[in-house]
Amino acid sequence: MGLIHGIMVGCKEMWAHKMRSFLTMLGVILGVAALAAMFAFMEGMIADMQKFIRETGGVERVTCSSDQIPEDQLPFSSLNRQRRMKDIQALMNNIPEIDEFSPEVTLGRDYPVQYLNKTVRVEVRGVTVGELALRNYDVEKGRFICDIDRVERQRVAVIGTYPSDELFGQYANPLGRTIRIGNKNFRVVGVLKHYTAGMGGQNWMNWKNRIVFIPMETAWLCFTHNKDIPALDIQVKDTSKVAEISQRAQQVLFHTHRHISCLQMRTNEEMVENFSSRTAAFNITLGIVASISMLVGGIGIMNIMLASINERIREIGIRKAIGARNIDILLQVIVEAVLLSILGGVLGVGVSLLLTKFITFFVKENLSAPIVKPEQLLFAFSVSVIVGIVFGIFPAFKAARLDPIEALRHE
Amino acid sequence: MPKTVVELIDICKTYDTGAAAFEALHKINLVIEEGEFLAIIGPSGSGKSTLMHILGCLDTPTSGRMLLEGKDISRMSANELSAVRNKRIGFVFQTFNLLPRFNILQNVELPMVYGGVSPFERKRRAMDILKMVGLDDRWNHLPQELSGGQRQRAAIARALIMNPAMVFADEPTGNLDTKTGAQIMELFKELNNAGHTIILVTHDKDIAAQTKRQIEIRDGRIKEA
Repeated sequence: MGLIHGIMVGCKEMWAHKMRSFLTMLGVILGVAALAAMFAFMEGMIADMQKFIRETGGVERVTCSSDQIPEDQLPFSSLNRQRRMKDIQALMNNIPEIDEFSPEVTLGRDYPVQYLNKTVRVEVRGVTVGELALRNYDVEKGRFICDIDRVERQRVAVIGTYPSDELFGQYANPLGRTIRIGNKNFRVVGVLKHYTAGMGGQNWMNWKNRIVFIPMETAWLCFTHNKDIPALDIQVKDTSKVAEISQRAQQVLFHTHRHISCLQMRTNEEMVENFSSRTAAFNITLGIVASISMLVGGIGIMNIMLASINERIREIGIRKAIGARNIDILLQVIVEAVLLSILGGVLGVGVSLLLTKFITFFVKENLSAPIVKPEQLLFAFSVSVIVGIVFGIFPAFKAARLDPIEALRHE
Repeated sequence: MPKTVVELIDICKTYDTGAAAFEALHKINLVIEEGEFLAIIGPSGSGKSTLMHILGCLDTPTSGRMLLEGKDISRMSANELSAVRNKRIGFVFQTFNLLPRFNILQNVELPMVYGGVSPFERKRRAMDILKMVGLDDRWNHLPQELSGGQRQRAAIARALIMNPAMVFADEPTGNLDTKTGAQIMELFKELNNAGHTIILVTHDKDIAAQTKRQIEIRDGRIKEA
């Protein structure tokens, strides 16, 4: 039997039962659409997360932050002290593999910064030149904080585009102007690059633009009145060694802090791992949901093929009488089932494209822009074809094994 | 001497219906020669249908041998029987049994689809045979758009399309009025005159009387008239 004949018969059957065929396909359509849309959103999430990790310093960055002191050490906790430059010196001397240090003194996340009568609330941070490498910042205009600024406790500031735009307007040149941070005057010496990502007018990289940097020593002198370093990041360019070096750094700091475990080293790698295990869990859950809907779609196809065969017992008898072999009947039923699922698959891929657009349009916030990959659409589509074959087999066998005499007698 | 088309040797068919075996055919011996116009008559339950199914290769005998053009059919596999039905046997049914979603041309082409004839050749041959039964101007009509007589002509065209060794007609006039039935019988006579072997299965004595040879089946045994 020609495949073309089988396809023609299948198309005629579908056309003769338009409503029934459509309802049958609906299961496959929804399954494929769910699968493809899920892929697109996961892809978007992964891409955003990777970008986020890259923009915050990538996997080369190790964050050293304060940790809860264990209970058995609480009696000596008064012996403990904050991190100082001495710690950085110790790290430098003992671990040459560390490429960059970035101590940070954050004054506040909503610190008021004024220019004339205008005020913005942004994050103000005392930093060293290491901040550029570790937080992935670039200077657009002017210069960054340099070591001379720190030594001389200069009152200079490098500002992000958000305070720049808010205070000076988009077109004015902020360089050389004096802004007030707290109640101290600072001269703007540099403006950072504008960072943007996300979609639909939402810029979730905006936190990166809402920033004002001042020299760390100036922050100590003018604001904190001590020499503590509340946050310290280190960079290890050889990413294969990040885990080992963060261990060694912890040992060094353990020593300089009189063996009190008040510190925690966190690598971005953990964040990446955390993220990928979470995406895996997500994928599995959504995969199960999509598989169940494909299963439901497949059962729908099987059901309708059984009904269709029951209606066409006589036709099968005629075909057998005039020379159709069992395999011809078997193939014909499978071809019909696959036609249903292919059409369902094509429509499902179409629906998934609409679905991603639709969801993106209505739920802009808290959602990454979906990324539609052709190979994943192809995968979702092939799943539908496989469903058609698998669920067509049972009805096909049933049809092929009909006795021609009984089938011809069937009313 | 005319060629033998079918030879039945001691054909028995027994149905196992649980407790008692039912013997539908008992030691049937029959020879059908090329160009014959034969009627098989008998009341329902006589074994007439069973004999037709075995002759038509839709069923296999329990014992005995059947030779179709010298080849033993009774031991063939299902696939081989399909090929035999396709190429050597034509069926005409009481209820026409045309596929409702296909036009007359496609219905006539159907045996050639399974016979592996190329699409171009299929169309040419189908149109030729439709012309012969006088339906060439209706080729694109669906069966339900035609009268009973026209449908039966289309069914006859389908039965003849593979140029079979014999044509089975199972009560071909049963669903037709007397006048149309007579026309169909005329067509069968013409075909027989043209050399086709035709086997008519009927319970109508008047119809059977129009053939050259009649065989009566009673209780699974042959009674030649």
